[in-house]
Parts: sequence; structure tokens; C-alpha cells
Amino acid sequence: MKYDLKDDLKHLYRHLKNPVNITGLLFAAVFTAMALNIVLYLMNHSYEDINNSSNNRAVMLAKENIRGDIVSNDGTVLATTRIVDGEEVRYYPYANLFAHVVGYSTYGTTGVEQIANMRLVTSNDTLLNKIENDLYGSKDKGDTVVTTLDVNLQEVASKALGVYKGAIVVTNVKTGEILVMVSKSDYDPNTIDTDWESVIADTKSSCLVNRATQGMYPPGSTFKIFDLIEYIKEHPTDYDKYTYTCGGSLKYDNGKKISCYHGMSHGSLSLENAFAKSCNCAFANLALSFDRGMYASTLNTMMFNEKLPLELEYKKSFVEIEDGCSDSTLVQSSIGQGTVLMSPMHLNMVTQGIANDGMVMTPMIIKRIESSGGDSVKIYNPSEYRRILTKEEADIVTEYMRSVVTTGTGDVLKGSTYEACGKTGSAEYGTVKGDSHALFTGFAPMNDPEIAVTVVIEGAGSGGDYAVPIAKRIFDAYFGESYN
Amino acid sequence: MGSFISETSNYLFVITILLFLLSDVLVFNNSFNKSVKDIINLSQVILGIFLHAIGYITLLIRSDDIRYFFFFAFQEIIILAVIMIYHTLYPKINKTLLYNMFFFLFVGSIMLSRLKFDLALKQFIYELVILVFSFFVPYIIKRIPSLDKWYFIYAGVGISLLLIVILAGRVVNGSMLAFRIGDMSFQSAEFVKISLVLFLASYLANYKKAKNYIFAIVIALIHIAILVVSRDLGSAGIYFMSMIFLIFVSSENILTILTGAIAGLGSFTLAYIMFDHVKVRVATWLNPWEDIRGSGYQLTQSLFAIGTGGWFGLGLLKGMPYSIPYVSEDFIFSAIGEEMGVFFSCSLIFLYLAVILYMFKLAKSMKNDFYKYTIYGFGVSLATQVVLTVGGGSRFIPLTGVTLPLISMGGSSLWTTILMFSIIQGMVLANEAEEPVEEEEEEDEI
Ligand SMILES: [Zn+2]
Repeated sequence: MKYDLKDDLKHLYRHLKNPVNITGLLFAAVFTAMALNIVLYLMNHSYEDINNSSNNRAVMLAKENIRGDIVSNDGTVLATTRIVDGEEVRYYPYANLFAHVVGYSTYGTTGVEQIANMRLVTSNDTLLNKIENDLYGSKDKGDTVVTTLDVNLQEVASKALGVYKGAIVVTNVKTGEILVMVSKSDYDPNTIDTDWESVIADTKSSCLVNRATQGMYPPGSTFKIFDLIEYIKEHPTDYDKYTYTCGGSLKYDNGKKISCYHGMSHGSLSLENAFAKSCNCAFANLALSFDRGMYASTLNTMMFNEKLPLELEYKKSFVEIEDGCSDSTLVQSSIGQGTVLMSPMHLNMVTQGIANDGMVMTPMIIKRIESSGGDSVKIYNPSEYRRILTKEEADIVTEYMRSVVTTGTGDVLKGSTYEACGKTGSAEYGTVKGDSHALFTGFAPMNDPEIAVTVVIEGAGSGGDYAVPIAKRIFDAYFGESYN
Repeated sequence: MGSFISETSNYLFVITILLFLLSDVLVFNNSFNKSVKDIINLSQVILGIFLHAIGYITLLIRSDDIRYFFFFAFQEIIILAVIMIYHTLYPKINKTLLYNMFFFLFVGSIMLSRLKFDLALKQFIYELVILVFSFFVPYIIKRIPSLDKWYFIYAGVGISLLLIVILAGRVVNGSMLAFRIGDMSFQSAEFVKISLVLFLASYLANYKKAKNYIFAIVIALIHIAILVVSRDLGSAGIYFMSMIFLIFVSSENILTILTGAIAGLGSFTLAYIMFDHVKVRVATWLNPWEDIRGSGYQLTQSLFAIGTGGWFGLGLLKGMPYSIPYVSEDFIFSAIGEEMGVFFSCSLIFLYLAVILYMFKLAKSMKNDFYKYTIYGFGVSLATQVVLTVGGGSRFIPLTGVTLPLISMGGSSLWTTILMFSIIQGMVLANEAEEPVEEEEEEDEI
């Protein structure tokens, strides 16, 4: 028999012309879409939704299964459940070291314990194990959460910060993986439930606050990165023609005055020099020339006054610059003083974006979920969050951040083989003149950046003297392995 | 053995329902001879009983409540007896339709038993009453050939039933219509699904001119208006769809559906502007997380249930279905997802689709337009109901609060659906008894 397309089409047409068939097709489409909607929900959004404190199923599952482990990027156990005298006890082998980022689950939940709560209480153990557990009346073991944290680097960072209060964040520039998140003061999560009363009574140290994400610090001179970016955006072709002669202070707005750090007078400066030496007067003068509305929108792109793509609890950074704001607000903000406040994590994300040719990656703290037997349950992939700079702009900022190290306030890093780039800051706080937080944010190596490091030390002094050496110990530890 | 069955029960459920779906696809295809078809039908009975047994064994093992065993045995004996009586009374009964109906009833009985034993028992008694009644339905249809001329009776009964509730009924759940006779609460809106389809089918089968549509539409709109006033938007939607599609099948004009879609969206917008409770429903649908303890509570709990259950479910008795208000009525689909898994619940969606497509196929084989339109209308009504309840609980569309046919708790809903199935059975039987007219070549791919 000869195949006849025309006959086939005729047949199909007759078939489709029947209203009953049309109705059937319509409902088939709607039913399929409805099922697909559920499948897609389960694949894409259900976890964020169900890991909600209003979902009492978490409590139910927690009773049913043994809470799973939290491990570092190389599988070192950071949190586990031990059976002591027939009772389940949550145990954190590193005690204070990962207190904030891993969190605790014994008195409410925080940190990774909170954001991965549903994962930890859900068991994807093999069917055979589940049957065996059922037979012996024992519980199933919850899934293992593999984090991006690096035990070795975390130890180095924590030791380097020493007895100071403050925060350190280290991320992988290409992926946004969080390798280090240190916050001090800290506490021992093993005993938080029994220590609770004394911990919250000690309001001075605020040791429960994760300073890396919830700490609101004046960024000091690290904010000049944003001034520099705005100036480049407003003067894309001749930004490097800017010159300024620093006399140690700058008068503005009828009699108000700002000075350079410790009253230093920097003399004649190019833009690059002013950035490297962190001249307040030069940058205040620069800021006064900005289109304030445009600067406000640039800062918005840089994630000020808005939500961060972070699952961990955090505070939104704040800046008051807007179209028509006062000279005083603008000048104070431009040197990271006054009302501007930033979290160390936010500063690190911007740094990571600069190092990654202008693309900020979504910070990652969980790498994958495994069953207690080690079978993969879910893998999280790095994702781009937002382009904050063009590649060309990022290259210029990188070059300027490099000269901070080679000729400016970050010279402690000068001799290192890994060619670090960065920006220091010394942010005055409180009422006593001279008290300042030491800050540094930077990355290395210059040509093909790998990690971004952000250090904030409360009340230590100048960023160049106190924060840069700590960053150096972290860079040394990281590159010490791969460079030797 | 017990642990093995209860731990693997959710996988067994999925395998069973997939095999049942496969058997449906095979049997819908006319290419098999009668003996092969009989074997497939027999395997459908076995699959249904298997699913039922796995469910009750799991419940028995996990709860240590021996009543589950007796209840299971009791149900099996009665249902097998019902099937045998059907076959004796009507040797040519459509087995595929019958066994599909029982498969849904089995799923419902497992889930209701899990929710509350007494609930399931009560529901089974309702089921029994209507099954016994439905023995007579095919007989009535065959004996009264003038059923297609009773359109004024259908319209009158329907409108009076709805009005009785407005005058004498009480409000349940804020938007449901019911009146009580003794211990039973009758939800008129359920039964009127049948009378409305019968009215439209009989009227349109007799009067095929376009001007006659106006009368049919006016009568249908009176039904719908009463429901809108009494806030039962779900049933109003089901009536509306029955009306549009029955006019479509009778006029064979695709413009009917387009006009219907525009009119539907238009009246929904109007309802949105006029009624605050509609605004709340839409806002909750768009962002249920906004007011997680208030207006968004039902929907977020439903999403928690589906999401926590995951692909294979938490297992019977291992979830928290009672965190969802009205779980046994409006949200039983979410409870099934939570404990039996999304693989199972999505398969269930396709099983409903298969049965509805099968009804359409039966409708096409009717020689008489009244039968054809009635079966088709029931299919549209059931399909709309499934979309409203499943789609509402999974945030596909705004919530309207209707039941899942044959599975949800509720006597009126159950009676209505079983009646629809038995009317279809009766019409198929009556159709075969009629003089064979020229056989139209029709195939349907599922
Ligand atoms: Zn200066």
C-alpha cells in the first residue's frame, strides 16, 4: 500500500474537527500541565518552602530520624549526633571554631543547622537499611550536609584574629563558595543549651551574633572602592586624568572639615595614588563632583539597601546617598563614615565580583547533600547572581587595588609571590577620636584570582597595620600549598 | 515480612497504579479480542485488591490496630459481592469503567482509614447505600425511553434543590451549601451537577437551533447565579464548564469555547472586584507565604505536605496530614502526596485523565445524542472538579474548595460521582440494546 500523506492529514483533520476530541486534548493538556507544575515545584522550590519554622513536620521528622552530620568540604565532621546513655546528643568536634556558621540545633536552630534543617532530619538511607532499622527498632540516620567550609583555612583565620572581636570571610572567587566564616566573640555550641542564660546575660560581647553577616560596620576607606567605581563610570575615558593636591584636610559646606588619617598630608596625587594611599581629601573632593542620583543607583547595583542572596541570617547594608542628599552626607559616606554601614559578607561579595571580572556569584555554603551511606541526594551548582561591573571596569579597579599593595597602605603583602590586590580601611567609630576598626578586603592572585578575603577587626587601629597582616596569613596558608 | 511490606509499600503503590494505568491504555484500545480484554479486566480487579491490601497491611503493622484487618476483609467481601451482582444483573456491563471506579474508591478508603477509622467506616456505609441503589439505574434508563424529554423536570429539580438550601440550609465552611435530613447533610450543589448536565443534554439533543441555546444558557446561568450568591465558586465553575462544553459539543463551533473563556475570565474579574473573599483567595494564591498563619495557612500547609512527602512520600501514618484544615475533603490530594508520594499522586492525576478520556470515547460511540451529551457532560464536570481540587491544593490555580471525586470524604460528593458512573453504565447498556445503526469508525489514542 502506498503511503499517502494527504489521506493521513484528512484523517487527522476529521479527527480534530470532532468537538469531543478537542475537549479531550484540552483536558489532557491541562492535566499534564498540572502534574508538571507539581513535579517542577518539587524539583525547584519545595525545599526552600518546607524548611520553614511553620512546618511542624520538621519537628516530627526530627523525632523519627537521627539528625544527620554536617561536614566540611573534605568530609571532616563539623557536627554529628552521638548516642550517650541511650540519648541523642548533638556534638560539635571543633567547639567554638564553627560556632556561628555551622550553628547549633539544641536551643532552636541557627547557621547551617537552620538552613539545612529539613535535609538533616530527612533520611534518604537505602531501602535495605531502612528495613533493617525497622526490624531492630532503631531510627534511620538523616542525610549528611556537605558544606563548602575549609577546616584548615578556618583554623588559620580564627587563630590570626586571636582575641580580637571581628569577622573574617573567605570565598572562592569563581564559584562563590564560602571557605571561611569566622566571627568573634564566639561560644561553644556543645553547651549552648546549658549556657544559654549566661550567654544572653553577657550583652557586651554579643557572642551569638554572626558578625560576618549580621555585623554592621562602617566600611571606612574600603568604601573608596565604590567612589572609584562611580568615578570610572562617570568618566570612562579620562578618569586617570584626575589629580589632587592634599593638604591634610578639606573644607566643605561652610566650615565643615574632614582630614586624612592621623592628619597626614599626601601632597600632589594622581587618582591611582590617592586610592593606594587612601587619601580622604582627594576622595571627598571626587565625591562632591558626582551625580548623586547616579551614585545612588550604582550603590544599589552594589547591593546597598537591598536583600542579599544569602540563606544565612544577615542584615541589609545601609547607605544614605540619594538624589539631592546633603554635601555632608555625601562626603562622610564617601570615606565610609557617617551613617553608612556594611556587613563583612557584603564587602566580600563585592570584592569577589571585582575579582571575577565584574560578576558576583551567589554565595554558597552547602555543596551537596548525601545520604548517610554517601549516595548523592542533591548537588548544588554555582550560579551567577549579578554583574556589578563590566570586565573593563573590573580590570581598572583590580589594577588600582594592586597598587594599594605595591605602593600604598597594603604594603605588608608586597613581597608575596601570589600578587594580592586589595583595599584597606580604618573606620572610626564611637565618640572617642582615634578608636577605629581595622579593615581589609582583597583577593589574589591578580591575574587569575582564586580567593577573596575580607577581614574586619573591631577597635584594633589602622587596616594597614592590623587587618592586612591577618589577610596575609590566610593568603599564605592558602597559596602555601598550591604554590610550593 | 511485615517490615518489608510497610517499608516498601510506597514503591508497591506506585508500581500498582502504573500497571493499572497501563492496563487502562491497553483495554481502551479496541484492537484486542474479547478474551484478551477479559484477562486485562481481571488483572484490573487484582491490582485494585492488591493496592487495597498493601494499604491496610501497612496501616495494621504501623498502628497495631486489628480493626484495620476486619474492616479490610469486610470491604473486600462486600465489594466482590457488588461486582458479582452487577455481572449477574447486567452481563454486558462495562467492566473497565466499573473497575476504574473501584480503584479510586480503594485509594480513598486507604487514605480515609489512615486519617480516621470512623470516617472511613462512615464513608463505606454511604458507598454501600449508593452502590445498592445504582443496581437499578441501568434498568431505569432502559425502561424509560422518554428520559430525554424531561428537560423541564431536570431544570426544575435542579433549581429547587439549590433554592431549598438557600432558604432552609446552613452555611458550612463559609461557602458550602447543605441541608440536613436526619443525620445526613445534603449538599445540593453536588447532586445538581447531574441534573444540570441532564437538562442541558436533553434540551440540546432535542433543540439544535442556535436560538434555542439562549434558553439553555439562561437556565444554566440561573443555577450558576444561585451558587455565586451563596459563595460556592467551585461548583459554579463546574456548572459553567458543563454549560460551555455541552453547547460546544452540540454546536460543533470552536467559537463557543473562546466565547466561554472570555465570559469566564470576565465574570471572574467581576467577582474579584465585587467580593472580598475572592480577592483574598487570589492574593493567597499569588503569595501564600505572606500570611502563613492566617489566610495562607491552608495552602502553605498543603505545600508543606506535598514538599515534605517528596517523590515517594513519608509513608502511611508517618506524615502530619491533619495540619491541613479540611484535609479529608478539600485537601486529600495533598495528604496522598505527603504520605504516598508525588509519583503516586501524579499517577493518580493521569488515571483520572484516562477515565475521563474513556468517557469521551464512550460518548462518541453513542447513537443517541442525549446519551452522548450526558456522558460527555459528566466527563467535563468530573475533569473540572479534579482540576479545581488538585490545582487548588498545589497552587496551580486559586483555591476553590471542592472534593476529589470518589476519594474525598463526603456522602453527597460520593453519591453524585457514583451516580454519574452508573448512569453512564446504563446508557452504554441501553445503547448496545438499540438497533445498530451504521458503525462509525472511531479510534482514540490515549
Ligand atoms: Zn590626603
